[in-house]
Amino acid sequence: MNKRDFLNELKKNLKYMSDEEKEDILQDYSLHYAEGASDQKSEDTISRKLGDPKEIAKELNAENAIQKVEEQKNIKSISNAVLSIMGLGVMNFMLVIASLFFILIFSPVILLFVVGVPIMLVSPVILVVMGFVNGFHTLGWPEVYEVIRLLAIGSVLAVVGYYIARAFMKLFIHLLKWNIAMVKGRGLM
Amino acid sequence: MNVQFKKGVLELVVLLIINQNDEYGYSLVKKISNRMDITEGTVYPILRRLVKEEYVTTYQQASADGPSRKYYRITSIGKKKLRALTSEWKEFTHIIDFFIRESDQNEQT
Repeated sequence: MNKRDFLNELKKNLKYMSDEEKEDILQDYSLHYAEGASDQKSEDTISRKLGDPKEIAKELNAENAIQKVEEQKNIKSISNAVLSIMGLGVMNFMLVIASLFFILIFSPVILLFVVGVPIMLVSPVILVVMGFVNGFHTLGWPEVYEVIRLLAIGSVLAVVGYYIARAFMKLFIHLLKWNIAMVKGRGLM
Repeated sequence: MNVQFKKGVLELVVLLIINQNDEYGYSLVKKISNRMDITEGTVYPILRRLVKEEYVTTYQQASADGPSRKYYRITSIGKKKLRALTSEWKEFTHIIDFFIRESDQNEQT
């Protein structure tokens, strides 16, 4: 494999990153070839020693995707990380599935939060709407107290939920990193 | 050398070399592959990660012939990380040595 083919193959397999990042990576390898050339090495020899560009790209994708999750915790970055780690190999695939299953067990609690807390927080609005719809004479102090109570509980749960979610995210990132570490460099060395 | 042994050790080796002198990619790769049989392409992802984790910084420097070189220099937190990794490694090998000695003794009796 010559330099051009190696770099093309590498570029083709790099995912979930900016063009800038890709160029930066290609630059590193391109320089390696240049140094190798002044070291009297043929492009074929250099390529052979570098290894499979596909495998190198997979490694870089997974590293990069995890980095992104740490910077911006959104669905897109998380799914990219999960997918890229799965791509590393069968063993990683199994580990990721196990991690996801773990998350799934907690999903009823998560759902309860996601649905319940917002309802609690907008309960005053609901009360006012009901007032308009059914006439305000139907609403007494008990309903008002109930709404205040819901609002208080909802606020507490929202704060607690936020911290739980943050801890959970940390744990998840940890799991992903562990996934990579477990099977690090397999087939690469 | 056994593939399993080399995993995870490469990061330590890279830091140990850069700790002595600043290196550019190609020279670093050469220093490692002179001593152990590695897939050279894996060194660059490790370097990228070390830079992102701020254990290592980079700077450009012109070379006498050919393009300018990207040099890698260890940072102060990099040195701290290196100390931690080194002591972990020593502790680990110490334990393995113990079992090797024990096994050797048992074979003799």
